Amino acid sequence: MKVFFKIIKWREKLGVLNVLASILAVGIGMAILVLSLYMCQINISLGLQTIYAGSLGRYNSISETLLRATILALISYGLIISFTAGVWNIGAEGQYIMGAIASTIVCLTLGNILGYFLIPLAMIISVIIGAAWALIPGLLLVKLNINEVLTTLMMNYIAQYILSWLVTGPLQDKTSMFPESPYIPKQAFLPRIIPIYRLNYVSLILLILLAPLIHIVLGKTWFGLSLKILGSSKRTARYAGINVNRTIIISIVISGALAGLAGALEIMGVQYKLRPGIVQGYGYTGIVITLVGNLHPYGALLASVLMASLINGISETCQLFQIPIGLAQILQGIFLITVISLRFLFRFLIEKYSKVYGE
Amino acid sequence: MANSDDKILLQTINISKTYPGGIRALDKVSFELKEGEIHALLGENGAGKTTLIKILSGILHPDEGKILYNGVEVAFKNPLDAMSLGIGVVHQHPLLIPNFNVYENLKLYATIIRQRLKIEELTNLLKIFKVEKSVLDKKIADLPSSIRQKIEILKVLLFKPKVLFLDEPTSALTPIEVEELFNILKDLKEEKKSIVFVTHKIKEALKISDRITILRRGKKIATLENKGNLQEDVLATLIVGDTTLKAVSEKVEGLPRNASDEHVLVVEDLHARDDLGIYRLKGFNMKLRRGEILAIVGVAGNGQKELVECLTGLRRFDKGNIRYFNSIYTHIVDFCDVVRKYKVSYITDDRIHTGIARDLDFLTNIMLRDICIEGRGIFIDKKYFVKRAKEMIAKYDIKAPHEKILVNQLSGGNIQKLIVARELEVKPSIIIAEQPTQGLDVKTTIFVRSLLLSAKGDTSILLITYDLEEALSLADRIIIMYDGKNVAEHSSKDIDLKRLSLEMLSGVT
Amino acid sequence: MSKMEIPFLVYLFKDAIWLMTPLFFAAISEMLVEKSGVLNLSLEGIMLISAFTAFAITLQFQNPYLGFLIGSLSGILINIFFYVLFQLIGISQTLAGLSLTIFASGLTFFLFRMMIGYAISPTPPLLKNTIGELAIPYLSDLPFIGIIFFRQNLFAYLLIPLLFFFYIIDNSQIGLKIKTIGEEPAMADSLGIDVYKYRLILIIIQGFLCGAAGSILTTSIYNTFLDNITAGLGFIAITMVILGGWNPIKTFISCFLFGFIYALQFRIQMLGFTWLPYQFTLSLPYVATIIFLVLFGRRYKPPSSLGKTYKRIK
Repeated sequence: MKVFFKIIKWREKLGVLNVLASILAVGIGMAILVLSLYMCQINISLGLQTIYAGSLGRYNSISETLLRATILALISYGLIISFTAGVWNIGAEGQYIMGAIASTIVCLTLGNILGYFLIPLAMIISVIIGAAWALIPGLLLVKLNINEVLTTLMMNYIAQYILSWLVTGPLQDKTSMFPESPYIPKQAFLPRIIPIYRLNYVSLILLILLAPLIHIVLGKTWFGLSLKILGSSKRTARYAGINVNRTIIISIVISGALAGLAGALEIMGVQYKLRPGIVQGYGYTGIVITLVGNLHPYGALLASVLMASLINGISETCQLFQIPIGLAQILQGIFLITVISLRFLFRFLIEKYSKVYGE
Repeated sequence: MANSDDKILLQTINISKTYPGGIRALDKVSFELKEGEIHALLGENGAGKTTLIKILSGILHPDEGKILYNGVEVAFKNPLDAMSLGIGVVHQHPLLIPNFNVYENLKLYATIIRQRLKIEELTNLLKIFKVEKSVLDKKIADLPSSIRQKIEILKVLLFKPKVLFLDEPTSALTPIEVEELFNILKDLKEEKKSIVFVTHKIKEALKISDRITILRRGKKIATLENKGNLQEDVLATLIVGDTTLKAVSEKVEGLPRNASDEHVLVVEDLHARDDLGIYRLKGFNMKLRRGEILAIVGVAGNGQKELVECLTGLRRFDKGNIRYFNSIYTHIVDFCDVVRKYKVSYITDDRIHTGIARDLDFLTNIMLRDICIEGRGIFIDKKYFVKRAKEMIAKYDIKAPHEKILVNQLSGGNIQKLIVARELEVKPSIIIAEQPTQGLDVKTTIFVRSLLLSAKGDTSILLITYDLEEALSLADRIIIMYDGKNVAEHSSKDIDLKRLSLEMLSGVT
Repeated sequence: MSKMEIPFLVYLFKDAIWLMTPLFFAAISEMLVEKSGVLNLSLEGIMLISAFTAFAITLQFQNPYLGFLIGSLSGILINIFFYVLFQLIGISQTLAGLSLTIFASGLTFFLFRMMIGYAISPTPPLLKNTIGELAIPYLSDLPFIGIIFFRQNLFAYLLIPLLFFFYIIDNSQIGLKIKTIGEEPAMADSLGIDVYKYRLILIIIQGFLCGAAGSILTTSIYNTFLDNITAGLGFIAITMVILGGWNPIKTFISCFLFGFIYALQFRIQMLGFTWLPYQFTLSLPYVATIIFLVLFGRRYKPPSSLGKTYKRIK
């Protein structure tokens, strides 16, 4: 009975339980990681050390991990906004690609004219293009009631083919044997904190500043409140006088804008040129991070640093020990399935075992 | 005419039913149905008629009491059990699937009761009901409500039930169609079928039935033989009851404090259709004065729901206009705009799906009405709302342990208190209250009513209710709504209850 | 018409029928499941996993039929997992479906590399034994028609029987009950139709057919496995149901149309139009999906309770 009463007490702390679900999911994922290392006959402590070294153990790996985390976090912050409003934007991948394309084009065409204005302009244009790419499914959703999952997904593929066409056609570097664009001009490189490492000021500032900003928007503004109410029930949102269609559009456009910005950071802070390799499934990893982070910006921040560390660390481990890469991808799937199952399981248990007040 | 020696086919003994939330829908009701009689079940909305039908058709289970069929006790686990005994039910809201065509619906019913759909029978019945055969291929959603009603009746008759329940079968029919239906029922009676005819229309009950049972607030009031000697007004008084009169006399008299002749909400010649495209409002007019409580009463389904939806911007209207203070709206009300400019509150009757955001906490839910109000700024003053939440919990006696509780952990009554508290605490200029005490227990009902009464004066209240007692005990003026129109208006000082009941139940003035 | 054009068109039609096979297998099963009110967005994931399973088994045992069978069965397993997620745990169907798809993409990505070796970008082996064309004696010798209809892939011959089967189900008493569940689950339940049982059975059937669709991809069409080999086919199958208005014949026609688009895409590449970037043809199905959704996506009303999980109130 004691256990039973403890469960009842928990019902008032669903937030705590959600965090617990995330932690448990990460724990289970880690256990599976260790198990995989064991199955691949790698000394576990050595394997974990390599993962640590490859993710946070060296200055360079810290720089790389934070760079990757920024891009993931930006995508995820946007998804938090649209998922909170109940809009299933799974098109962050395409919005990110379009942002990357836009910034490349701006940098390559206007690079020698603009000087200091180049970086902000390229970023603004990527934000606009990312937002526009998200606006299309948003409009289709509110005007024609077409399922946003289908349209955003289709637009991911279209974006990928546009990218592929550009780097083999109009934007291809004629001197290169690979499908890739020429380097963007030096003045478009985001200023680095330490010159030998790629981590730059813009990424770091965005990574740190956006989380509290999103937190304030969601938790402390009336706009954030209307997103939450819309996500909970469309009817209630209408009853409260919220302009439902406008809010849906705004939420999906914000998420597209942030994904577009992520694309710009990938070009101007990581790759310095457009190539098919920028497509790494970040849009989908972003969904995982958003849900593991419990639709909370700080959660997403932690989850994106974790995911970036895992991707970098595991990739180094895989190269060193000659094991198949892809461990990070499967972990991501396991995180996702476990965290949503646990969250709903907790909720189910709470609803089943708690009393209703006032009866 | 049924003879009193006739054998009793179906009988209930002391049936009681209490809904979750504490509403006692039926209180020890004993009812008997003889073979070959037409028995009318008469009462207001919420008298318990539909509950009794649902119990006798196996949809609901009684809390106590017995059901006897042919003198043998039966317990229906589900509607199939009742159907297999030959009980057919024509429900008030046709149990037809809107997306299916008529034939599919009939076929489904046949499949469920494991009988074959006989085409000759069907053709025959279609002819009797004067329904075109081409209707069979049409979707229910595309049919006018009178044909839908006929199909529902036809669906049940097709399989020749021994006992037939008809729950408000005439609500969607024209007088001529009602006449035709009555002829069919009389033919069935000749075939020794027993029929229970549920209605709130006294005239119809008098016209068709052999006996009449009157229910009021879950209790059986009387069973009367109908031998042509019953008076309409006597029945009306029995249906409505003395308590209602008492409510009037107990009401606090005197004009509201800030009452004036200024009109804060005016509706003119409103025409609107429901989701299926049928006109539910056919030229409705009303004027709400500053500081008064105006009640709109009527039997459910006379356009009240559509009226509220038009007023709160949830439904478009074809003709007419709605004016809040100085803002006139045609076609659709921009409710966000109205709330922002004039602080209008709305207490919805769909409290679970519309009134609250279920997955969110108490605190978030009390902020809901403030979203649109002017001058709120960008940021939420959380401290203020936490304070307000605590005050609300204390002042309105809401049983919530703290303001962070999820609202779906609260009971229905507490959720209603939350909604009323929220809508009153914004200090609105107008409250649109739609059945504010529906489904509440007695204590909470009195509490909510007293809240509305004390808000009057500073606030003008439009009360939409199906409960005459509620209207009489709260309102300064009463508008009777019938068939999408306002048919009569009364000041609370000169209430002639008999006339009021007649207007409500049959629309005559 | 010149002599060159006729074979081109003939082969286009032949390919269209061949390439619509996996699409139709997935779409027709999704149609019935959606009629019962379940929106399954994990189709893509199921197809991915079964495509991989079929590939792995075929490579191991050199028997494409065994690969196909196990691949299809693996689809059932994943779909039951989907059922558990939304019905027992209570996750929204959209979220459960999407999560499973993301999970499947990670799982196959990993297992594929585990199997193929340690290389960073594996060059996948082609399957030696695959399920290929089956020419029907005599009939296949007919001009044009013989090539289009009677020199088809084994699975393409199943299209019509499958359509017939689903058409019959759709118009039977069982179909009526399924539709009732999809329209008014609470009413169906009160009338004694077991909502949970029907949905589970449909989910199992769908698992098999969708698994078959995935297995066809590796054992018969591509003859190998690639990362994300389904490339949105599962989602396009869902679109087919919408365009087909939850009607088996119209769904069939939509699938044929998209089979045609896929065939066009293949053939245009083979013809070597250099002026047309190949990315343009490759993106054709996705662009077409959006355009068709805009044009025809609102013609038919979806089942009323689509995507809403039913829970009996005690």
